Amino acid sequence: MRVRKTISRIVGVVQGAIGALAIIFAYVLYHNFFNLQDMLNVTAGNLLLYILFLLIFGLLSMISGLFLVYE
Amino acid sequence: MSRQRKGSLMDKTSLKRELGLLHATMLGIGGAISAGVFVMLGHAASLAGTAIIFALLLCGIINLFTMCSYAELGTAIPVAGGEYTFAKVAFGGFVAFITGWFEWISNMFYAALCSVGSAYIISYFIPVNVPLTAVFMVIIFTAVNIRGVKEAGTTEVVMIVALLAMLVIYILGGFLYGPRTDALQISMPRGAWGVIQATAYIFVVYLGAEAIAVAQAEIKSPGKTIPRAIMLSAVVLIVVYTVIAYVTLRTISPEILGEKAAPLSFAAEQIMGSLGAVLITIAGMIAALSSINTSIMAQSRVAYALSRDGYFPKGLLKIHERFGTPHLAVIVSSIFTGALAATGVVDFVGYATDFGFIVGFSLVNLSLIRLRRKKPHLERPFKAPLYPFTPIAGLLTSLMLLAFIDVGVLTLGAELTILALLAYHIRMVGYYRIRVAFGGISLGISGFTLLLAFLIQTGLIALPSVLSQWATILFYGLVFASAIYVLAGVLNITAKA
Repeated sequence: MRVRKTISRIVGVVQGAIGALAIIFAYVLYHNFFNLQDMLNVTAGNLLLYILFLLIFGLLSMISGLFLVYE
Repeated sequence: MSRQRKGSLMDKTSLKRELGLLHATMLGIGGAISAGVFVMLGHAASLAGTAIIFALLLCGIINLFTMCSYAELGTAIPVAGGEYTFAKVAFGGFVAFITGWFEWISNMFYAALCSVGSAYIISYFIPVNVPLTAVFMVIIFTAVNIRGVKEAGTTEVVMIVALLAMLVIYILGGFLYGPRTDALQISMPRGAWGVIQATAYIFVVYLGAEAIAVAQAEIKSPGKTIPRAIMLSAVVLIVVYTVIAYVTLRTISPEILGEKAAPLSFAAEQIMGSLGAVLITIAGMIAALSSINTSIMAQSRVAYALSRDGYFPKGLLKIHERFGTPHLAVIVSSIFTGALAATGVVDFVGYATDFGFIVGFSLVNLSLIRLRRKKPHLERPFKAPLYPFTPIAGLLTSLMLLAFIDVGVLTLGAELTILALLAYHIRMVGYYRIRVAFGGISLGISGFTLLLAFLIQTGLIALPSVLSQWATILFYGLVFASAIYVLAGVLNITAKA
């Protein structure tokens, strides 16, 4: 049981961190820091779609990660 | 300015009826005049041109429809709690929860808007870092609210009168000392579309007048006083705002106004010199600081009420031993407010505030329609005139405004609604089922990530040139993420019920 709890915590932290990184990436992409939109060939038309995708992915990952951390 | 009654009434049900028509009207006017008009007029004018006057008039009329619903519900349901209570009596369940949820969120946005607004007003005289100053304001008023705030009563009325007097001086100054050129030419650089966009943007300046209906427990003869006070404050606000816009645009063109962070202070300086700028800055600071304080108080009390009803964690019910305030509810709400204030962006936070309150307004109108059908014999000291036209008009016009809100804010709103659904279902459907659902989502993401890794490795997806040299690292990164999501999925699905 203790092993499961430890694994849950580690996986939860990593999953939550991936989610948080996705949200930070969405923020950086939206504000075009480091000229990221040009570097990744992101057109203005597709930008909001990518942002939405990243935010939903990030949000779901963070919630799932939190479930595991606080199991 | 005075949303504090809304907050302070969340947990009080038996209060002395001491507020007469003047007090109640001032409550409505003070509730609405915040930092908004001092900092948002510029961007609104750049959207609507000089036709911003019509946008402000339209806002006032739309606001009036919903205020009729507030007046009826406020007098028919003599229980504290505002929109949340109305929806609880009319619908219960998820609708009540989502109403409380948006009431909580919109007060957070409102507090953030006023913090950012006050920082911009200060920055007109002192070069300050706007996001930092805004966060500092939130921290200060969080501390004040943890310590506890006494209701202001007469002092509050005096402050509102002083604020109104300063605005009247500005208006008179505009007429007496402003340019005496031709009559104001009506311009609409973006056509009617721009006027409606500006209406959706600047709607925030009318928010807060519902404090009259919410404070019904303290008002003398509420059946008569509340509707009169609501109508009076709505009319006064329409007159004050449209005349302010007229005087301002008579002096400065919408294009120049749109470039200013504190447009009213700038206009006052052009009209009355530095004394005018100081006067308007003081007025703006009174309105903004008071609004930050009261909206932080209101949001914490809504969070407290939602915790009391079991929707939010019970920890938020904790009362500070020394100060007797729900300090955890204050702190949690203020963390979100601080994060919003840290953006330092008036436009985004302004739209977000509009979004929250417009959703709340829609739900209040729906609550009125539902209650008329569900409880036709409920004693109603005041009835919304021209029913069902007024609540339906309030509902439709509110929804129309939603369609013109910034796309980014609508996305945020959709996410907040998903979060609300999640929070509600964790409470009602059960923790275990939600975890199983998240387990399934994690497995799905894992499969998708693995497919993406395969497509990159086989060259079926062409990477941008800058990423092509990192293709191998990207591949292993995706495989690692896929493994993590498989584990997360399995762990969530196999969690004990």
